[in-house]
Formats: sequence, C-alpha cells, structure tokens
Amino acid sequence: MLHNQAGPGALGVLRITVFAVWILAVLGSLPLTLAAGLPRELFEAPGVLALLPEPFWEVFLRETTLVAFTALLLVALVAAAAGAGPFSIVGPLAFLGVLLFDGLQKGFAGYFNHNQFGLLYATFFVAISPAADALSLERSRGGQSSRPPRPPGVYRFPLVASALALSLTYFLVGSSRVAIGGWEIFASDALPGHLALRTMEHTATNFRLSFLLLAHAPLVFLLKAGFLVTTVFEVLSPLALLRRGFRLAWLGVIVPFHFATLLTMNIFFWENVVLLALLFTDLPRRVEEWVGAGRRRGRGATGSRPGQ
Amino acid sequence: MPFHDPVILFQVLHPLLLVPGLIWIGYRYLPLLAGAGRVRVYLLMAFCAAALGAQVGGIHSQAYPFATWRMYSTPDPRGHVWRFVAVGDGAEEDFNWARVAPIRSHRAFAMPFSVLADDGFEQEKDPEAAERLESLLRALIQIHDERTEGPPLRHVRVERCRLDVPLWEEGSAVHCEPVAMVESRAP
Repeated sequence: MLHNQAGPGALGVLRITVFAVWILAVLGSLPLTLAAGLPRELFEAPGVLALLPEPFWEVFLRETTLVAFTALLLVALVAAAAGAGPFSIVGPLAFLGVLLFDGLQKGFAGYFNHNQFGLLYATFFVAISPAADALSLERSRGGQSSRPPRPPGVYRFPLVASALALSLTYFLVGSSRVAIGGWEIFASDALPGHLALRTMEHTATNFRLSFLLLAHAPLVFLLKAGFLVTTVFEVLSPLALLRRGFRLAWLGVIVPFHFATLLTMNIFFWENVVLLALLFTDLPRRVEEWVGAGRRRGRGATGSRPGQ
Repeated sequence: MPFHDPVILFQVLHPLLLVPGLIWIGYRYLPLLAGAGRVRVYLLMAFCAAALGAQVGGIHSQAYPFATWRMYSTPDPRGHVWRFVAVGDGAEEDFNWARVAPIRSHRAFAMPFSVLADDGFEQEKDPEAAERLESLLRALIQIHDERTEGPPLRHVRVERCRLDVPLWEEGSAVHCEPVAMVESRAP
C-alpha cells in the first residue's frame, strides 16, 4: 500500500514541495498587475469564484489590489512551505490564496486549461492536515511539544488523498476518451490531427517534433499505438494505489507520456510530474528517513564533543 | 439505443467504473488512515463525488475547482487553428502572447470565436460579435505596445491555418488564409 510507513516528515516533504511549486508558479506569472490592464470583459470568474460578487472583482482586478494580493500570497506561501505559524490557519489561507491565483489565471485564459488541478487538490489535502508537525519552523520552535502524538493515519491521509485525486484526473481523461471517441479515436487519424493542430499553434516552447514524426507512416502507427497504451493506463490509474507492480508500470508509461506531450504538443504538466514522483513512490518517506538520520548524526556529533 | 450514444455512455461509464473502484480503494486504505478524523474522510468522499459530478455534468469551468476532463477525446478534431501575425515595422512574427499576460494564447478568444460560430470573423453572421472581437484585439495590440520597447505594431493579421492530415502523403501542407486584419491605433 502507498505511504503505509509515512510519518510527519513525509507529509512535511509534501507540504514543502507543494507550496514551493506554487511559489514558482506565482513568480513565473509576475507581475500579476498585468491583469489590471486587460479588457475586463475577457475575464470570467470560473466556478465557485463566480459566487464572489461583481464589486469584489472590480476591486480585485485593480493594480493596487493585485500588488497587495501578490505580496500577501507570496508571504502566505513561504510561511506555509516553511511551516511557520499555526499551520491550521496558515495552510488554509495559503490554499485560498492559490485558489484565487489559479482562478485569476484561468478566468483570463478563455480556454479552460487543466494544468495545476492535481497540485490544487494536493494543496487542499495538505492544508486541512497537520502538515507542519515536522520539517517546519513551528516544530523547530517547539510549538507542538506539549501536544500528545497524533495517530499515524492523520499524516498518511493527505499523501493518500492527493494520490487518489491525481489518479482520478488521469482516469477521467482516459475513460472520457473511451466513452466519446471509442475505437475510432485510435483507428482513425484523430491523433495525427490533434498533434498537428497543437504543433501549429504558436506557443512558448514551439517544439515541432510532430511534423517530423507525422511525415512517416510507420512512426504514426507507433504514435497511435502509444496513444492506445497510454489511454489504457489512464483508465486503470486508480489501480496504481493498490498494486506496487502495476504502479511501477503505470509510472513507466505516464511519466514519459508527459514528456512526449511536451515535445509533440507543446503541453507539459510539470506540476504533475513532480507530484507523481512524490505521491506514487517512497520518496517522501526516504527523505524523512534521510533527514532523521542526519539529525541523529548531528546530535551524536554534538554529544560526543560537548565543548563545541 | 441510448447506450450507443457517446454522451449517455460518457455519463454511465464513469460511475460504473469509478464507484466500485473507489469503494474498493476505500476498503483497502481505511485501516491505514485510522485516526485521520471523520471530517477529513468525509471531505475526501465529497471531493470524489464532486469530481465525478463535474465530469458527468460536463459543465467545464462552471464546476471550478473541479472540471470536465474530456480533452483529446473527439475522433474528429477541428481542422484549423488561428494564427495571429504581428506586423511591426516591416517585420512579421507571431503575436507575443507573453506580453499580454495573464492571457496565455489566442485561446482567450475562444468565447468571442464561439459567438461567431466555427468560422469566426465572418461578419455577415454576427456583425456585432465581429466588432467586439476587433475591439478586444485592438485593446490587446495597445497593451502589447505599451509593454514592448521598440516600434509599435502596425496591425495584427488573423489567419486561419489548416493542415492536411495525413501528413505523410505527398503534397500535404499547411494552408493559411487571412481572415481579418486589425489596425493599431498607434500614430
């Protein structure tokens, strides 16, 4: 089973990574004030954010508000990553901040892209958990010392829930393809069509590999075969939580698939690749053990040389 | 028969596969998560229900922070893309969408395009929508110029590009045709 040995340190690794990725995402989008200069009618608050009244968005999309929001968001994200303050307050606040940030990006995108959903879900599950019980400023100050130890399930929950949420996103994509496209989507020239269209669009990366591949019929056959295999693994994604052997095979397909979409379609869910490494491997627990061993060595060294 | 309808199949397949799968995963993992607290477990169950509901309901952005996941599922992809060519002082290049962030690509115009139906910019279909689209583009050209050092853009030419698929057949190529040109207001 996934994360059956995970403790507070493993959850701390997830907390640091998730909020660090958001910090990178925000820094990569600076200055957010650019949104203030855009035609207001191009913005449509998505979903739950549309419940916020129109005057809120009128104020929020002003330059001064966006400057303040950027500063507060970065402070909240750094505090959450560091595990500062009472995490039961800082964590949910940071989550609400990234929800607003992500909604702002998606609200202006017109086309509703699907990147960062896995990250958003992982952030939610981390935010509602005691994720600052290890590898955190809160812990190093001894803020939790008087509290009785928590049951291990509370630390495993966000790791397992995030893995389940991420696997669901893959499942939903794969099963949609089967339901809507049927066999025809694999047998027809649908994939070459999708690859060609995405490659023709001007993007930041502008990889043109598809045009090279699509010029050779045998390679197109291989691409279609890869598409079928990927879809099968996507549909079976939740099984990755149950079977270790399948999990390794699944990672062996899904991770290269993400790099393939970068090169052939200029689409890269790099946040998902980071999450796959954290949520579907023993990496958080290994880091927890490594940090623990380092601390023990440090204490041992200090203990043997008390004068230093 | 409705089960041959992709939409019905779409709505049936997900609960049919997902609900037993989630129950099985829950059964296996609940002992591991003992002590996580009922509220968290209920929240996870609500999350799964909402994710499934958003998928089956097909309501896309209205379901945010959930979504409908059906990308690259159509066996008949649209046969063209829009290209925005920025024409400056004698030079032509693809419009730099990074200059109009947080808009990331021309897909921001998906909504005005949909108003204009598939062919977009065909003014006889909806002159008001076409005018609105041009006005938005003009505003973006202005913002682009404000955020760029160097000479302002003269205009942006919108092209509809089509690619022959399969590409491996001789004579296949990219065909682009201009469908609109929006002049800058810069002097």
